[in-house]
Amino acid sequence: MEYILETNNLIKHYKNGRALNGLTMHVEKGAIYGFVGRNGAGKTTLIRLVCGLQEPTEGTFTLYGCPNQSKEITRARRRMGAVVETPSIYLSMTAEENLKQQYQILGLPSYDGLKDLLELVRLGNTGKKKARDFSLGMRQRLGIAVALAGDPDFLILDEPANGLDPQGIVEIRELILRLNRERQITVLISSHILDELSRLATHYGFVDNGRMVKEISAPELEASCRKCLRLTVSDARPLTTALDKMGLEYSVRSDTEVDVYDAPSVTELTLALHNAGCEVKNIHEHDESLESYYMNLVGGGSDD
Amino acid sequence: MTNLLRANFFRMRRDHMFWTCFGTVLACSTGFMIFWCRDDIQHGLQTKLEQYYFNMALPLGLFTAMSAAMFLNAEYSEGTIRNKLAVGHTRREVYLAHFLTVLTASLFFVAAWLIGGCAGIPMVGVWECGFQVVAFYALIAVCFTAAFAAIFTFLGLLLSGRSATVTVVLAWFALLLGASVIENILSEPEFASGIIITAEGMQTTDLGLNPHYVSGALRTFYEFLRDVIPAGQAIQVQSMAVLDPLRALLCDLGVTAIFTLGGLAFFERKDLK
Repeated sequence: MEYILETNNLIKHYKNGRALNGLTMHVEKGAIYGFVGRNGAGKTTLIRLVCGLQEPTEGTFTLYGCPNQSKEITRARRRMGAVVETPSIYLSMTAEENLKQQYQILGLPSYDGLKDLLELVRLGNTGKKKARDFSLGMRQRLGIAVALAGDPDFLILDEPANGLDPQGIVEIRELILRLNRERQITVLISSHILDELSRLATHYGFVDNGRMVKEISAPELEASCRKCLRLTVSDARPLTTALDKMGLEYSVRSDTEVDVYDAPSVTELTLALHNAGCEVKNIHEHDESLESYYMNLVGGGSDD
Repeated sequence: MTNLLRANFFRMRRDHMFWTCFGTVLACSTGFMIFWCRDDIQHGLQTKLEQYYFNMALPLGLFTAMSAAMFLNAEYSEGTIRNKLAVGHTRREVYLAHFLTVLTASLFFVAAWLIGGCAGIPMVGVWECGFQVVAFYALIAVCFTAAFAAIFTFLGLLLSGRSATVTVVLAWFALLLGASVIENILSEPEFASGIIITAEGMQTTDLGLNPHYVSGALRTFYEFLRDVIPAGQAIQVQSMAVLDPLRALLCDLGVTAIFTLGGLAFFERKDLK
């Protein structure tokens, strides 16, 4: 498995406490990694560390396999683009000037591709309008364009949908998907808008109190969240035998609990179990969303 | 770092505060020189160009402070410093590029002042003290401007938030105030005669030792302090009375080096947001 970003037991102390508390995570190449957590969970702190804005108190991370203590980390960062918290743009400049500025920071020999980049984020027609007169969505897209100026293969977006209207959210989502599919850019998105994230992410990392609670791929999560019939029986073995005979997809949760994914005939199933001497104690439909999965995972405590 | 410098200059060319300060220095230097020379000529006074040529040395630091404060503050308030670090520039490169940009802007202000001052040439002719003396004072002006640039970059990059802009400008006032106090202490005459007002009118007492006169090691210390503070040198340049040019230049070099190295050390460890 090739990882773009791996963190190992990262700890970050501030004067008022710990923001990261031994965070370990793995961002696979080509993934859209949804970094989920409540406010203050440590999402932005991790992003700041990866971007070199702050140094970890303890622990390490690797970017493209390059350790953070190595001098080569600055070279690795050239392959990455980031929008941390708010879009980092000069409000007194136009969209084109902001991109020219970033091209110069990167030392690009010409402004080739600048117009295409503006078109990509749908800011090609903003002309001499200053960024201070842009809507929040336009600023967010300009921030992403600035992050894309160096043609990175890893993009970090911190709460990209924050404060956007529904139209803006859809535009950002489509842009991220396009970047991932057409340019094979690995994306790390921090967010607490779970519904939005569930439309994008191929992998999830659930963080709470500065710790990684769970890393899971979208198919795994989907399997966990799929609508199913949850059967509680006296013994799961006769049930699995019956399900195999009926050709139904299922997963065994325990010796007495099984989730059945396809729509079975309940009558047929209970009869088969009765014949096998297995008692059905409980049947209920189980449907878990990303939100309820997250709430089950981290508990329902209040934001800090 | 070349890339960062090029990007900073690109931004400086579009920076309203820079052009406002540049225009103000040029206009003040030109306008005041014409006003003073014309005034002297109208009153039949013998005027030399150098008499007023260095008058702008004093407020120069204020323009450097304002321009630096606004330029550096934008990096934090608009978050753009992140764009530089996130794409792999080191903190040292970022700091030095900003210092050199602030220094360049300050040198533009020095140039505006010196060019503007030439407006008096058609009225009173060129410098009677000779070009070498003018060049020497201009060199000291460049050096104390570099010291100002180092101090303001230090403050502007280490203090983030809106207060940083105010702090940088207040720092200039504090330096000017400190230098003025020292200058006042040092300008006390060694001997002074008092004036006594009696019923018969005013009487002058005999010349006596001035109790406020500072001498010995303390005087040397104050003189050193006046050279260390860039505003102190500005006062000396304004009155064309730099007592120890070598010490002044070494002090500028020292202040610039200490603030730049100190700034680099602090900036390396600063948690940025």
